[in-house]
Amino acid sequence: MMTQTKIRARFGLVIWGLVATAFGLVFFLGGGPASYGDDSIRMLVAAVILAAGFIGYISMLYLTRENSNSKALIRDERDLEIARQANEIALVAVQVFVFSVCIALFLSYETAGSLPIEWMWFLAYITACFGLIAQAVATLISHNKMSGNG
Amino acid sequence: MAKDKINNHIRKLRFEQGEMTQQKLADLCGCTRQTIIALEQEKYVPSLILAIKIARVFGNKVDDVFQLPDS
Repeated sequence: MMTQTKIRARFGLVIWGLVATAFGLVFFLGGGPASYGDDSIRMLVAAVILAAGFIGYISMLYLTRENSNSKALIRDERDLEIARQANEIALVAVQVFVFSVCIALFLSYETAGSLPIEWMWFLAYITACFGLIAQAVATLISHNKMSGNG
Repeated sequence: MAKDKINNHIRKLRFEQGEMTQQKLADLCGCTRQTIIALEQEKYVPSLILAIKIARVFGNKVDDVFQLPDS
């Protein structure tokens, strides 16, 4: 039987993986990053994708909540420890990710002297997705390390 | 990240207590069956509170159920 922690991590990984992929397609296709800021349709589509991701994620959290009518305990101290470890790992992963993207953008546009402002949209959206993906992956790794077979 | 490990006799004690199921022990201790499985396979170090609860279920001292590997 899968625990609530594992179910949520798996669904979270799928949801935010899809959102990140969809946003990447919208951002990089149909004119590329340079025209993203002037293309209100693409910006609207990206906002809808992110909103759908959050609605889907919150719905998933609600659907996998602890049922007060059920006597079965689905979350305990081990799950809290897994969540604590996952949050620690995800925080570091996000820091490294943002640092790496910023450095990559700097190196890419260093000779041009200026950076298209559209990349800030990319950084904002993709950091939101990456943080939740990193947390889901870290949860699955920690869960695997702290679980027995049976 | 904790690399601590602790040995335990939970599986042995369960069977000595009339082949108590993992679910029964989990219910008595207020944890999930997955945690009992992880404890028996020594993949998780329990909190002091959980360790005391488990020892009480078996009517033993914590030291009799859990031991540090070098003790």
